[in-house]
Amino acid sequence: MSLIRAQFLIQGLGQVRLETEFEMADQGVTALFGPSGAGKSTLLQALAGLIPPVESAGTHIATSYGVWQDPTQFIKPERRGIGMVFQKQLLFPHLTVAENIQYARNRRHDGPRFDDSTLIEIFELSHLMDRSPDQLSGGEAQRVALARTLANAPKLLLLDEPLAAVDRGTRANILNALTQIKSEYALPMLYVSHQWDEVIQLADHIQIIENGRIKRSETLTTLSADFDFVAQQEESAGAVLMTQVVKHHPEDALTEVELGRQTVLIPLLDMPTGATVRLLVHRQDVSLVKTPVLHSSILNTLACEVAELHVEQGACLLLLRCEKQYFTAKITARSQRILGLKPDQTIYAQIKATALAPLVRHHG
Amino acid sequence: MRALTLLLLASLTASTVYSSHVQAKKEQATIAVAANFKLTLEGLILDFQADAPNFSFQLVSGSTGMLFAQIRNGAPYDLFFAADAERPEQLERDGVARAGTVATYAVGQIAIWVPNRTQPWQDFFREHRGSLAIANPALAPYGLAAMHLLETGLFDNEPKLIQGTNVHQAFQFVDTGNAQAAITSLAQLIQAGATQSDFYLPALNDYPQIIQKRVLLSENTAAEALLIYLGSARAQRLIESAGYKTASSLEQPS
Amino acid sequence: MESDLITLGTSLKLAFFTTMILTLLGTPIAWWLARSQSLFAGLCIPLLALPLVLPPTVIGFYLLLAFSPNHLFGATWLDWFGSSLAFSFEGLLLGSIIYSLPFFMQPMIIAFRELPEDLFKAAASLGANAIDRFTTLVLPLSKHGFLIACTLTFAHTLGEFGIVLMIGGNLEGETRVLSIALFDYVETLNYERAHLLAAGLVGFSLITLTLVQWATHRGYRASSLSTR
Repeated sequence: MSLIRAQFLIQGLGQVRLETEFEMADQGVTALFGPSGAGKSTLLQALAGLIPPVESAGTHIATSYGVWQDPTQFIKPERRGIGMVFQKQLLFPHLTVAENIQYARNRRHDGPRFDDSTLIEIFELSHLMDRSPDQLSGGEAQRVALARTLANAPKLLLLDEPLAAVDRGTRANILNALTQIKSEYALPMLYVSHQWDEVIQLADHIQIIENGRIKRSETLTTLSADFDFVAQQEESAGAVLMTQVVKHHPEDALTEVELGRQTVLIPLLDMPTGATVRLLVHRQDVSLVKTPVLHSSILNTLACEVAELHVEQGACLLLLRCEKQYFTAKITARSQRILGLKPDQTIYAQIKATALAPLVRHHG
Repeated sequence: MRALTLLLLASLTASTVYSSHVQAKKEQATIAVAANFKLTLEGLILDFQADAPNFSFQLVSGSTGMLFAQIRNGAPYDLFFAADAERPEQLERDGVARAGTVATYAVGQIAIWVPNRTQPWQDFFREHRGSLAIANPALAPYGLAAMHLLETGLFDNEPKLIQGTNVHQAFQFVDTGNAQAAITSLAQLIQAGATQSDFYLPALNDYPQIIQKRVLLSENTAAEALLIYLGSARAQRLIESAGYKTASSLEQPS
Repeated sequence: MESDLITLGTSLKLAFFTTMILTLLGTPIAWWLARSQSLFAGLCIPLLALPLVLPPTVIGFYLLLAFSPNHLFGATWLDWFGSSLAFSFEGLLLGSIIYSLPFFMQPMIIAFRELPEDLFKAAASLGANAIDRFTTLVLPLSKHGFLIACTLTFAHTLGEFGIVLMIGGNLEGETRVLSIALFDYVETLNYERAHLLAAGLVGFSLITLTLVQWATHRGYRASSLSTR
């Protein structure tokens, strides 16, 4: 089922900024991924009704809530029931944090509701409620902006690079919160970013946009298995492995998760058994051995197959398949020669537990 | 635009300086004149200069009160034609003016002006209920005279009094159609070329005489020559034809 | 002295109503002008500044002509209301509104233009419609602009002379205002009373300008914080 079917045609200053079809599923998180200037924000703004009809003539937006725009009508942004989080926080400077949130609550749409205590807890706002926006750090302000948007009970959450201007701690908090909201509330999200690592931690569907046009629309799993695509991403780019919590080992500060028939140890998590955890694996953190090593400081050894490999300028990038999921490893060409690695070969990937820091909040 | 304005200003200043330089070779006087007498005085000066071309005069006109304040504060005028008697006398008392040079040069006459009048005057005075523009009685002798005239019961109904700063403004209020009638000066009406049937001249003894006096402020050849000319019968006739009585005409009613 | 009090009352009444009417009518117009990109709005803004550069007597002269029953506007007014605008408080009020227009509109247009547009997008996505956004965001966020615009308008109306002189007619309790009374005192050599009024006007203007200075300073601080 699709939530939105749209045909965008946005023009401004005499040139076309966006001309594309767009379709969004009614479940999960859809990410709009592409370089700066590709038209991501424009698409989001047009969807929210923030681009005036004169600039968006020729745009059709049909949603499961009704038609938002076609040549004969234009539903105003305030009547679309969307929630929008912008790249920079846009808190109302004359209102306190609590008043900003109340402002949104007073104008609630009819999406899933979040009460104050939930918002204060997931965005860690308890000590900020009486402050005025000019007394907040960038990260604090963005957390408040998200809480305000959710207090507004939107039916669709539009996120325009919400992590672009915040510190690492806030980034983790917000990704965490969004993951939690995704698993606990039926709130569709459209997440715009040019950071692959952000996208894979949250998204189920990924749409790739370039030069004002959507080029591909894939599930995360399909895209992760596309070696050509993965190889194009920046050096530090990672991949995610979907795992489920098996049990916790508080005495070792470790949590055991399962990946198909294999288990992985990661730093202790505060999540119930059976919960899905996305493990972010960076290609530099993976080392390969031909036979499993029993006595090693590295706790995790995953049996994998080499799906594809590519050697270039003394380095070798490998796409590994493990329990039907894909991730990459990067080793030297010399190691590849010594190990005699070739496609379909079984290999063991060693990953330090501490490198597998998932998004979710750590214990304590 | 700005550059143009500056250029304009500069050239104006230059021409002023130039002309005053040229005039400095002649006998020159600067005269402060009450606004109501300005045009008449200009006419008189032209007439005078026809016979005495080496005299030149610069006129500064304004309200009597303003000119008086300027003179008291050192304005370099040689001669002062006031619209009243009080101010020149005051200057003489204060020692600002030359002693013994105060004299009446004209006596003002007031006139009631009603353009587009449809009724005979008697009916108009009986029935008029609209506005009447006068000069501010606190500022202008003509306004004060108008107030006295009204106190004689000229109008059956008390008109709504609109005060202009001076007779010119009272005239203007009627001229623009904002007031129906004005008590202004005869001189003003003659200057404006008002139709004779549109104005009414009240009897001279119905209001206090509007005596306008002048005084010499410095020793100045041109100013003194002009005063001698003004005493001539020819000049007196010109003043009378401009709508004023003169001291001589009051002594021997014509 | 009593007549001075009546005159003061007329002046205050004139300044008050001028400020009030400009606030009510001028605010929405300033908002529109501040944000419209149309050619018409672009032409309106310099037009609004005209009273700043024209001598008041020019405006007074045209008003006097307009008020005249010989002209369409004055005739229509007389038809509708039964009395002429010339030499009336209402006429003076109209003149003051026109003459004070730039003193109200310019600070308001500047204040409105300083407001970050993105805030209104955020508010719209939160479900606030245009009127809601105007009352809950635009008005409180342009507080200092209002303070400057209103004090300038009020003070400027109190000091207005040229137009009043042209269209007032000096009627006590109706059109005689402080500046005219002051002029009369100076003209009639009543310097003592003139001093009293002049000193009062100077003092009031100083207080006003200090207030505006203070509000402007605060305004800059507030806007620099909000755009941080």
